[in-house]
Amino acid sequence: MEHESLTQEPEKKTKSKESDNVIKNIFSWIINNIKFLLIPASRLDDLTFREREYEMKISKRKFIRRLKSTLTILGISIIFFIVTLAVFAPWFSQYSFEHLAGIHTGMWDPPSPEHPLGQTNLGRDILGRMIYGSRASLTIALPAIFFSLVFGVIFGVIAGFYGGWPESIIMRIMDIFLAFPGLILAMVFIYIWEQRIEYIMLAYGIIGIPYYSRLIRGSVIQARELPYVQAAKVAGASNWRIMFKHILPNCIQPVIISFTFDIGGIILSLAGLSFLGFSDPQLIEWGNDIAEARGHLYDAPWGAMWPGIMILITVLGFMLFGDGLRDALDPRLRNL
Amino acid sequence: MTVINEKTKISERKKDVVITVRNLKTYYTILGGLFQRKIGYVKAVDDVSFDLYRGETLGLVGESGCGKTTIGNTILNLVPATSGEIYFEDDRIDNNFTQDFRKKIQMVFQDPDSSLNPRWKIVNIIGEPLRILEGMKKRREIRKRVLELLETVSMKVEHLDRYPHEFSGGQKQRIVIARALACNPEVIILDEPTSALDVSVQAQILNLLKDLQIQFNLALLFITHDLSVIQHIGNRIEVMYLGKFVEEGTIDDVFYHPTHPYTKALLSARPTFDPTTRSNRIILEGEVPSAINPPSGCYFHPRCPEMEDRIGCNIEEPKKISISETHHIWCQPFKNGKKF
Repeated sequence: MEHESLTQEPEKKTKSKESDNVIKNIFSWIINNIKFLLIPASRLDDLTFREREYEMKISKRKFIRRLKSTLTILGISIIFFIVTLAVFAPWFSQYSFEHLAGIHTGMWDPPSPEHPLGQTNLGRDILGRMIYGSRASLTIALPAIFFSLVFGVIFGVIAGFYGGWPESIIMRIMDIFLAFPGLILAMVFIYIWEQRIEYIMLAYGIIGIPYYSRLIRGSVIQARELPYVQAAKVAGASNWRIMFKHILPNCIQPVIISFTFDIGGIILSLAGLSFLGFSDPQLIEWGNDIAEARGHLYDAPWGAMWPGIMILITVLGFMLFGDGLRDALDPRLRNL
Repeated sequence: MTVINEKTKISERKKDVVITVRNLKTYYTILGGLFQRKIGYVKAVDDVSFDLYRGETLGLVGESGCGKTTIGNTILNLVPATSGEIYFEDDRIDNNFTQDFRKKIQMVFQDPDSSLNPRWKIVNIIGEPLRILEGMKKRREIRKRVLELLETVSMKVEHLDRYPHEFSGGQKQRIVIARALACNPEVIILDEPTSALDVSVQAQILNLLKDLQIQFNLALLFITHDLSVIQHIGNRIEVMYLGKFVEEGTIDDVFYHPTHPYTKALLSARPTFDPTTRSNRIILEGEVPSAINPPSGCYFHPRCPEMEDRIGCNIEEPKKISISETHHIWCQPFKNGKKF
């Protein structure tokens, strides 16, 4: 027993020392990074004054500075505005969620002091539904599109890089998905599963995969023959590293553009689904409202206009942001 | 006893040999037909053997499509060899190319523009082999080493954080050379490193390569089609035609006593300062035969101006004939017993 305790003690000590070291390392890493971000030339010890000045000008913070164009800032602030509406909806709206989903008097009533933007066919407040609608639109559109983006890019890069039978298998499966119209496929998925918001998200995520993988596969096929890929092989890089660190950053541009366009598309197709009765009817959603107000464009234009404007603003915000992001990611575009 | 003899033989032979290539064949398969079957081969490199010594520059010349680049790619295992053996010092590398050999053998590509990833900063580009092959983790260490490398190719500290598009062609080629030097290699394969540059920059790069060779005792395998470049920088030279060597020797051997008819034609075709020598030009007839279906016997015989004087050009494979200790050609003997 004594022997055991003797042998165990030093082990414990070393373990505690190691954990101390780990914590120390983490701390020093964090401090170093903060220093690096705040003091641009901190990483280079042996710089002259002039070199340090140059380093201050062109440092890692360049990427953040590149995002500082007017339109990009506009895009970011629009996204921020929409997200704020979604997060703090109960504070902005004077009606509660239950009230907005309920049935009241005043069918298609014009704007009034109680209802500043008018009422819907069931007497619901349009302003309140606009604010609450940002929740559904964002929580469905963003996860769905990220799902299809991540999986589409992974499948597309693998198919394009390896070629041969992996490509054949992946792309034929994608072709099968493409053979069905998106809306019908979504209806099938929702019919098989349940009419719940998670499944609607997943359905749209799966539908988006083939578009992204086809988009990126073409540019990967082009890029994989370029000499810098061979140079990376000569430098000993693994296939995985070549695919996702060398080729992918050079092929991501069209994907970013279509990503920002697709956010609007998904919000609109959600409207299509709910029009056909395949969506959760209790959901407060812009597309839902537009579909309802479609028949009353002349007698109650406010019913379709305000949710439409919200969709327009959201899509515009994401597009402007995507444009700025693409430019910031491309070092060849200077003068930003 | 025989084993010991062989061993001593190898150690003698490889005293200062870095890379040994023996009977290397690299064929590209052609796929075609209904189910993408193999319907033939392109014999890009066909039975080639040579040695590369430490600290020397071996030139590999020939017209385009004769397999020069394929030899380089095969040594680096970017293209699999069909048969034959490649040794680095005493280790066979053609079937077992590990990261250790990647450190020792590096490559400079033809087009500096596209051999640098446009999305990466210079630090990361040159630091990549350090990160992967040397296992350096700390960013500060990598920056320091990259700065040293940039200084060896006479570039400065402010170039560290720039992107490739901000440099001129000559600077880019310097960066590529710096990347090749990153892991202290012993062999650098230069795949037409100067063909994308203007003449004045070419001279700078060549002199830089010469200096680096002396500084680090590098063995250079210089692939080029520019004869004056190889005359400037090379020690020995191998002339290729359609995947095979036709003549090998030192620079003096090949440039002042060209013996193979193809080498003679090649040398007469290069531009000279003296216009009177133009009358000696040998103009070859016809086109280069296809490497898919090469001619019988000597691959050069349909175009050879000296075919009438020799025996069995279209029947027999050319023999290796030594003219001096360093100078060899692959040809057929003369009909009347004349010596080379």
